Amino acid sequence: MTGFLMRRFAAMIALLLVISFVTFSLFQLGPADPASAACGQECTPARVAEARVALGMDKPFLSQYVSYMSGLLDSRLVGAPGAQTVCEWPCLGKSFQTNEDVTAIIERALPYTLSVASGAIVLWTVVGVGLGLLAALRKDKFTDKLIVGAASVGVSLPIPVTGLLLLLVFVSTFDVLPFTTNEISSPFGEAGPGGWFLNYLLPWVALAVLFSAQYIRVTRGNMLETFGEDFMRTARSKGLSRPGIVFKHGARAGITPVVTMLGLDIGLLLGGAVLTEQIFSVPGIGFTAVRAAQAGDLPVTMAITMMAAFFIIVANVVVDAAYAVIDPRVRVS
Amino acid sequence: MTPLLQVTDLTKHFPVRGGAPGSVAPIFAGPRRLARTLAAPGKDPSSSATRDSARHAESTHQTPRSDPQTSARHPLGSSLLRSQRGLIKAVDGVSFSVDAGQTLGLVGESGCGKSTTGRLLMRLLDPTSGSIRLDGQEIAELRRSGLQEYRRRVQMVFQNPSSSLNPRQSVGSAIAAPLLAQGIEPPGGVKAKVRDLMDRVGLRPDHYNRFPHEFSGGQKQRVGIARALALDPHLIICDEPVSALDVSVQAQVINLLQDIQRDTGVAYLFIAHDLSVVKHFADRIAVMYLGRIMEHGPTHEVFGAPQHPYTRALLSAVPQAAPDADRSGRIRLTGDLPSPADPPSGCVFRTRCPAYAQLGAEHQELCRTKVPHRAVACHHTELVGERLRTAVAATD
Amino acid sequence: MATTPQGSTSTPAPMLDIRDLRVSFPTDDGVVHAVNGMDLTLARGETVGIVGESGSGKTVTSQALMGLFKDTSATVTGEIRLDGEDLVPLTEAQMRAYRGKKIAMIFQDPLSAMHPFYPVGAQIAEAYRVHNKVSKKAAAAVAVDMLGRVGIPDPARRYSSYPHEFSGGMRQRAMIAMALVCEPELLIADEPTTALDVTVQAQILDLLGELQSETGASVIMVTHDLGVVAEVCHQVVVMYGGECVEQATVADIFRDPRHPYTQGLLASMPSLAGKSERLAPIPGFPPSLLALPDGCLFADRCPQTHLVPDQACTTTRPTLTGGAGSASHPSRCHLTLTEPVREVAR
Repeated sequence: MTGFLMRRFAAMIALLLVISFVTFSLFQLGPADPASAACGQECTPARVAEARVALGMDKPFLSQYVSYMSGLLDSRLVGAPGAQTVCEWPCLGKSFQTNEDVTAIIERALPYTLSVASGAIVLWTVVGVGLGLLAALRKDKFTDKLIVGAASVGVSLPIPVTGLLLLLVFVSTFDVLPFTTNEISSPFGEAGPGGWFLNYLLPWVALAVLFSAQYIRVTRGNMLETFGEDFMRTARSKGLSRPGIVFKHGARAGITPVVTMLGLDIGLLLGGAVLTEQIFSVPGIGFTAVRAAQAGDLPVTMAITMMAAFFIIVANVVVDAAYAVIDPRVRVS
Repeated sequence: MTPLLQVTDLTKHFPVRGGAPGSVAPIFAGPRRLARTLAAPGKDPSSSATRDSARHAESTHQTPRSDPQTSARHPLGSSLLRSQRGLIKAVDGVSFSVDAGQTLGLVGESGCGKSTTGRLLMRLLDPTSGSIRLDGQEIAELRRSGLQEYRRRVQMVFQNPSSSLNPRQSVGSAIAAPLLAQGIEPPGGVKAKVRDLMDRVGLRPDHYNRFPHEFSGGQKQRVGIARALALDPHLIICDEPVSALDVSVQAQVINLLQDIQRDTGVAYLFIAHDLSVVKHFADRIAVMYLGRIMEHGPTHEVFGAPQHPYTRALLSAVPQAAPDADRSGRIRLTGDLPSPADPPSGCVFRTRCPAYAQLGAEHQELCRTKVPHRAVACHHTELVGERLRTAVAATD
Repeated sequence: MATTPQGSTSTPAPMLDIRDLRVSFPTDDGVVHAVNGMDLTLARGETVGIVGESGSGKTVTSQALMGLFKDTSATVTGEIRLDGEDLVPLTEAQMRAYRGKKIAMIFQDPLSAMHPFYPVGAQIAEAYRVHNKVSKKAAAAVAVDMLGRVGIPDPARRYSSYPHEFSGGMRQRAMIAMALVCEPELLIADEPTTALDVTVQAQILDLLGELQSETGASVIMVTHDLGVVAEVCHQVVVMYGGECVEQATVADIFRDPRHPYTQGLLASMPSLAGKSERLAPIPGFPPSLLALPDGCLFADRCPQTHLVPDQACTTTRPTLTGGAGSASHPSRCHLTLTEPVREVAR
């Protein structure tokens, strides 16, 4: 097990390096010219060249990459020669727009994304797995058809549609919930857990509608497959009661693929719930990424892309490890 | 006269690796599919053959790492995330020959290497060392065009007719496939040849455009046989061709195979675990255990007067469909098959040999040395008969 | 086998008495009549073999005995009397008291029949705790003891092994331990050795025989292998198309098979003893269970229908006749109603 984790860890580092390099190359080779973007509206070729030097873009490509990556190990100096400023470790460069440390920008945005993600994940897991299990237990009965039907609708509702509908109904028309504000970023702040909860309820529901629907389908399908397994028949043959059969023998095997799916979704969501954050104006990672991309703010976009990749890769490793814990057949002896 | 097929010292070693759960793909697949994926990634060229035996292998194999059939499914090639941990000697210095028009029965329990041997002969796997000669021509080293020519003369019938036929391919085109693949235009055309083959295996002409799911297991196996016959091969390797079939249907297929041999003079290598079927079918028998041949010779000798203690144990374990048969003097093997990754030194059977304990120390010493190639791979052929009687008497 | 098969047909009150058992399932293609009149009696301590090919209804019969069709869309009618009490009308909850406690079952493929995520020992202990109010620790001790009794070396250590870490034979031993841990009166073994190698099969059959003589349990051995039947059974029931076509002692079924299907089955089997003659397969295929013919289910494959007058074979379903009082054992064939013709059809 330890050896397995070590190998996975080494592979993870290698993969991150590759991804960082590819991302870096893409931004370099892309059509956007950070230098002209950085020097603003009224730009002369001379000022673009100046900006190019200031951004370090006059150096060869590889040395730019190495210098960028060195910021992950130690603080480094950025900016034009003579006007250099210190970028504290861990340094991901400075924003073209505000000249702020990218790390600080991410640190500011991350709590919002965590708030959106955490509640949504809990909500969709409870609803999706619960209803999926219920549907499997009531296969072909009315309850099952109702749940499956609702899931089919949920899957086809994109977040902008659900989000806007929720805003229209609960905020504009009935005014029972507040419009999301960027003053609350954690349940431990001034607004308290209640305020935090109400503030993020709508984004959670918007995300949960889509994700629950997927989880219902996967849970139901896996549970039904598990119910057909030989070991379920054995459990019945022992004289176990129905809850014992369903939960102890069925759920553990049937839920396993859902656990791995959940791990990957969490990884994905921590990279920013772009649409949700846009619609509810939550200044999280996704929101920041969109703004940065629109403005051609290379360091911010680059950093967020790498961070998203990081979360997804970490989630993959966690999922593999979780799978080995759940399923003894996967463990390496 | 040179035999049709001469196999000398055929060896296949597989590297043993730790099974790191590499990709995310199997994880999504759910436990059952995961197990299937782990057992049979099906990435090697023999995947259709391996899936045939997968069912049998999955249900009977030992720990995942000690089963040569499982390992046979893992593609070779190094990977950053996997580590090699020794070798599985799936087939370890096997020699036998098959004469034209004759049948050699290759028997043994799961994990003994009989299916791997079949796949080596078909060149679905590359041998580690050894020689395979067909009509005197060495084929162990053949590549591409040579292999294609070889496969014109050697064909294979698989265990599970359901998984060895493409469900979306009509029966007629499945039978025609070898002809088209080899670019052969028989006189009278492909269709006429296929109809002729279908007639020969007892399928009706109107079955031509039907699909495998419309057929019973026995009929599907007839399709498999027709497909193997399409190129008029000299040798057909039958890997457990009837073990997935019911008794009454099994008899139909056995009779069909015998009729075909009588009419065409094709030779069979008949790989099976059912000793009754093999005895009924084969002219000669080779008994395998842990990748080696324990005993080989004419069927009536091997089954009539078995010399090797393993052959004796195997034969006496077969349940006899005769309630008043003499059941005294039975030999019961204890324990499990040793891991092929770490077989016993010298005689591989000695750890389970019922006669071993009855042998004196100086005879046991000899058992720890390698057994030379001969018809009965036992150091003490003369002694074991008597010692086995003692052993059986002691347990009765 | 520790016990020698012996002929004994009538005990005053059979422990198990199955009368006219019928099981059918609704499917998208229509109703599948899997079992169409199954009769069987079994005395305490005896072993009966249910023999048949795929689709003969032997496995469905055994699952009906376990009450596994309760709470499903399947219809089960007839009587299954265990010690005089009919199990057919019982509810799922009532049946639970019988499962594992009075009737236990072992399955063909122990790898898929055991839960892959739980240690073998824990699965056996669980079976014990369902019917015995004991602590987990006490149940674990029972499970270790049971593993030792089925011949698993070092049972205390193997208790925490997972099913995939066992060899095929060991898994089936563990499965037997799981089934016998509550000392059931009736053990149903559904093809228990089909997935095993022949030397391991011999070990398992020996073990079953030993445990049976220790515990005095009755055994139903469901198998397609007449060899296994000859080795371990006292009685045999031959099934075809969901019907019991012949019931006899093991000696009688081999010496004097009366139903043409049984005769055909014996003739189509290659034998290890004796000379290799050409096999005599049964032509054709089993009937579709979706649309059963009016006449004898075996009629279209039977070589002897011409011996029965008035084409009765294709118009009238024969009943199971013979047995008690008559000279011969029960068989479902028109020929046994008239004068028996016992040539093995060629």
